[in-house]
Amino acid sequence: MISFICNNKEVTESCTGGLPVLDWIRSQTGLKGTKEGCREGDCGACTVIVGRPGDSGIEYSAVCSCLLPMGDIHGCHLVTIEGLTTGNSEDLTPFQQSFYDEAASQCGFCTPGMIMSLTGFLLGSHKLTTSAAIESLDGNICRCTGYISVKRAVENVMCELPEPTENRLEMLIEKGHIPEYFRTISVRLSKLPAHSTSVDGPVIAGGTDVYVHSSDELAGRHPSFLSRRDDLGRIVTDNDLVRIGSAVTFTQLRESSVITDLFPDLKEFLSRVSSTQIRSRATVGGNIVNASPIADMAIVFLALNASVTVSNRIIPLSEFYLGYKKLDMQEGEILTEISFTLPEPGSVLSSLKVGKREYLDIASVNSSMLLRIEDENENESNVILFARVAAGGVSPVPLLLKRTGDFLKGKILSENILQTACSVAVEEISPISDVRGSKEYKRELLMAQIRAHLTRGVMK
Amino acid sequence: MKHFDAKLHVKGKSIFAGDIPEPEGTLHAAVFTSQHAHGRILSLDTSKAEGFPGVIRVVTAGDIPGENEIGNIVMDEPLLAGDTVHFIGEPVAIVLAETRSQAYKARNAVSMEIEELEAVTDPREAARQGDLIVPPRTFSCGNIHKAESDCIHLISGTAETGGQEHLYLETQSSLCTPGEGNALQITSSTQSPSFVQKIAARVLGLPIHLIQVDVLRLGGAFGGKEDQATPWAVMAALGTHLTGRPVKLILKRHEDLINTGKRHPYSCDFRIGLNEDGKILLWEVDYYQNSGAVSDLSTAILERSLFHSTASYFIPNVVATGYCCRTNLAPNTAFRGFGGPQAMFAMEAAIHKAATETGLPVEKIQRINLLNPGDTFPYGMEYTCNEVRSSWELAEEFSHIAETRRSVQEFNSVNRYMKKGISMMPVCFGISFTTTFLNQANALVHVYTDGSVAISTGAVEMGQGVNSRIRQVAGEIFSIPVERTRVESTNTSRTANTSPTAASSGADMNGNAAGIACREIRGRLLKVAAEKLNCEAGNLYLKNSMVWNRNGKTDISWDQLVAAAYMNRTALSSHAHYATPGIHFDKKTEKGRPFAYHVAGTAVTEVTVDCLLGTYRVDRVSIVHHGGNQLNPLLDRGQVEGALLQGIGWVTMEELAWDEKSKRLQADTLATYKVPDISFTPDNVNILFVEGEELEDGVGLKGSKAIGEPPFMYGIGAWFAILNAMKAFSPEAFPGYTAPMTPERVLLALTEKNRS
Repeated sequence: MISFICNNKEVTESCTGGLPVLDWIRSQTGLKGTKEGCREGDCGACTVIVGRPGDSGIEYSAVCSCLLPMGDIHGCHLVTIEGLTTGNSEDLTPFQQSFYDEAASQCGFCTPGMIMSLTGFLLGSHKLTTSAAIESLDGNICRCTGYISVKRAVENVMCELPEPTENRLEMLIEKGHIPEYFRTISVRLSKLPAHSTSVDGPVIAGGTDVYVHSSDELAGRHPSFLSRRDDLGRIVTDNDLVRIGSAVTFTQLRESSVITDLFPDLKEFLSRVSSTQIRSRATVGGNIVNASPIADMAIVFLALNASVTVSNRIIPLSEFYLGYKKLDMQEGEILTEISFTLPEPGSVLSSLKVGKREYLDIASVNSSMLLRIEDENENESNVILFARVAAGGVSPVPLLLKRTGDFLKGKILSENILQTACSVAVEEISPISDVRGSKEYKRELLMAQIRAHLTRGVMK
Repeated sequence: MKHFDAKLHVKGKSIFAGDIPEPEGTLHAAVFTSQHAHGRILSLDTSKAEGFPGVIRVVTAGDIPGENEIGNIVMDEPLLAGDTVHFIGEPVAIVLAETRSQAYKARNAVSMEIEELEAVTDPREAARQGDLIVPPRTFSCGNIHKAESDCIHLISGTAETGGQEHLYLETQSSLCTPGEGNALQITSSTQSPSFVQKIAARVLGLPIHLIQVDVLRLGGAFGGKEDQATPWAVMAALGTHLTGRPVKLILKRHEDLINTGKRHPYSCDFRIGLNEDGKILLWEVDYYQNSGAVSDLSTAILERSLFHSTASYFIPNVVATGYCCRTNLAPNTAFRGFGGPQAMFAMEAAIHKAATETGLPVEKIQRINLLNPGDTFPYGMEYTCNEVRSSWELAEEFSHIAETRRSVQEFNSVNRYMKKGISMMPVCFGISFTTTFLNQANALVHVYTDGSVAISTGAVEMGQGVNSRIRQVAGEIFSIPVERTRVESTNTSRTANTSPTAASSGADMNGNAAGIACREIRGRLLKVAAEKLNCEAGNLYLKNSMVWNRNGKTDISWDQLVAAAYMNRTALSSHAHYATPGIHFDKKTEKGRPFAYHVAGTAVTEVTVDCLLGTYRVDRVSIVHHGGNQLNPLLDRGQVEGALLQGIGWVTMEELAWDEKSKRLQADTLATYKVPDISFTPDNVNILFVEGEELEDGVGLKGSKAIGEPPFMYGIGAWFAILNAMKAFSPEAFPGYTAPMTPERVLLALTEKNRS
């Protein structure tokens, strides 16, 4: 049985744990505000908020319900658009009122998802700035408004919001963003019956990729969930080793001071990995074992010379990918950890991705470069002491460009060296033409990115 | 004034077709479609699917009781393929089952053997093979042979524009329920309820009056539900007719992307002739429209391309020819702008090319050729106002163009890879269906005994806010708060023989029809008041929910007046018909006055291109738009903003590509077809609405102008601004006059010299 609180009501369901939450919601009378737009996490019309008991009370985040299995909301607070207000039709939250005032809702199909993203942002985000609020809509597609009225509506609300206080929940209740029953949720969740669903399905981490293509199949199964394993959800520094649990989400990674202190630029790069809703669910381990040749984290970890832990074997990531979607991992094995040695002081990590769209898109080519430059030398001719480069979208696997890195070592940056580094890099790759671009484009784009890493990422 | 519908939207309480509670016994439909672009059906095996759990019936072409024909303009489209298939995604069989997942599982068990035939996706190849849907059409004026000798510059070229997926957030949806006898009620997410009704009747072999179509609202449409909602609604109706049970058919996104048509890709050849000063004397253009496998609305769309072949310019000698080329793609269809954007892109490309080759500034050529009052279009209609030129001049001022140019130049001189570009894009768009008979609408207005008002029209609410405008009209005529009015669902039993809500004309036509009906009722009510007050009805009027006479407010309130009229046995309902006045067109001579009026404006677009990575941002768009006397400024702004971003999307990131060998659509998910998102939206979009010309009585809606489509074409400016930025980095960079300008196209053009 799966027990949770949906809006203001305790629910116990005997459905399969693999059933997408979207399907459960839409089968309930009176809960039609959550819309099905694409079933691949790319439109945000089905966005709901999930509150999960954590170390510091209930941690709320906006997620796509089309990619969310029922089994993974056991013990959680599921909030749909209907849960933001009481029945009274005049009763609107500030975002709802502002969207109405600005006509930021035209056809209305994407609107509930947007309101949920914004409310999830208020509940879960550390900082409450207008620009961060607008960024929280990076996973919501609207085809009517061009987002311009949406931005106005968001600005109107955010400028009325007080500074974040200790008790976020109370502040949001007071301002009418959430109803009063939110106060009672914490206690009520603790009284829910224990999880008692049998498991007969695959192991699911975030599920944000597998649910895109295997939703129907998984709907009838009872998967097990890595999100339930606390041991896999931590980022720790162990002497000079950084250890990242495989179930760490992209949101956790992006907010981890361990990571952002080491690599300040990575935060911006991570904002371009999928969307807010998906980053709340998608895991670092999932990104690695999915084995996409264009996996954003794989290229970063390759540049960091990371290793993965699979059944107590520690395998260098550069040796983990055996071929297109082929891993050094057996059926039934679980990747538990990604670890890398702290780079030498003075190292800089630069990561880039370019696709058709800057946000929530899969790159045509992505790449990452770890670089260390001789720092005593004050003049322009800095010597490259160390370089390690990886790229995605240019071969059947996320690829370490070993020769390119080796070539750069000991060189002084010049136009000639830039050109040669690019030529070395294209010799290492074997791109194919597909929907993400022609092979000619991918070659040019990799060369441009190498140039950008060396001239912008490092020598700003 | 608000977008009143949005009050329900923001709470998730608006009801879309897929949200309607399923009636008892509802069956779910899954459609089996062709996976081949062209082929002869050798065998179709549904027996395995029929044995699947929950399956009630599998319907094929042979089960159709009436005609297997859903064509509108040209009769060339079967509902279900019979002996041949003509595109990937063409419906072949409908599986009806107790649950949606059972229907889809069984659908996957249907099998079909195909003998492959040659498939064509290139419109020019289709034209070479003579595969045109209708004979070519030509609009012309002046004498281009004579003009040639006056031209100092004669420049030829080609322009290509890609297709565009509508990406309405609500996929095609329908629910059909059986009534008494053979009667059916269809709820469909269609822009054309009457068309669904007519085609359902034809396919089922029933009179039209047995079919009722009801539409509450659509989750976006943009033209994609004008013709292409029909097959799915009719399939649901066919399922209900054959089983006697309700049938629900909702396409999954992936199916919607594959099975339904899009904006037409165009390939154009042009020749432009200029005199020394840059005055355009000659314009010759051939449009090869990629129509897809069946006609759909292609012929009407091509017609609008011909109407807009000279865009916002006056050209005395023109020959514009259009070819509807039949290809093996899903039938391409209406999309905001309806052939106009493709024609305008070609015109702007020709001007840009002329500027590049002659050394004259683009803006100079644009400016001196803008339409002036008194100029005649190639189709014989006179341009009577000065809005094109005045919007251009105002836009220069509004965008501080001189200052902007200077700052762009300065930016470009100090940045190596980051380059800015600007462009000006004038738009002039004709309002009315170019198919003259469609320019009619009707409305039914009821005033209930409590004084509340219900209005039914043929207009379909799809986010554009047409219902809000209609409520405003009724509220003003009755002088009661808008809250006391309501617009009902669009229903073929209340308003019959309606035209699609399309061509930007939905509010104009249906608002006017509603206005006529309201005024009729008001007249009757004032007669009742006159009797009570013992005065002339002509001296009375309604104001703030009261009856007024020349001396001021009387004692009779709106509510009392309505109650008295009812007791007095006065009709409190009225049905009215509206036909756009003064329009006509002769297809033999290709001359006439096809449009009630034109809408004009100018956009100034500023972009930054990262010439190292090939990426770009649109920084700022300033628009001067002549919108008439605005009825609802909030809605107008939303339409301009939304259309602008859709237009920018069309010419930048939105790319449709088909696999060369299989002819399958490659961008068949939202992971591969990208549309603008919130981060792509320019930080600065400034719009100045200017009233402009006064419209004739009965044209427009209370002095306001149609606004759905014209602003889409402002987006074209982004393409040229990006090109100009690229040229600031590398003057020889030339990506071809080909839209969309994807980051790939930008980078490959910028690096071409390194490769060659």
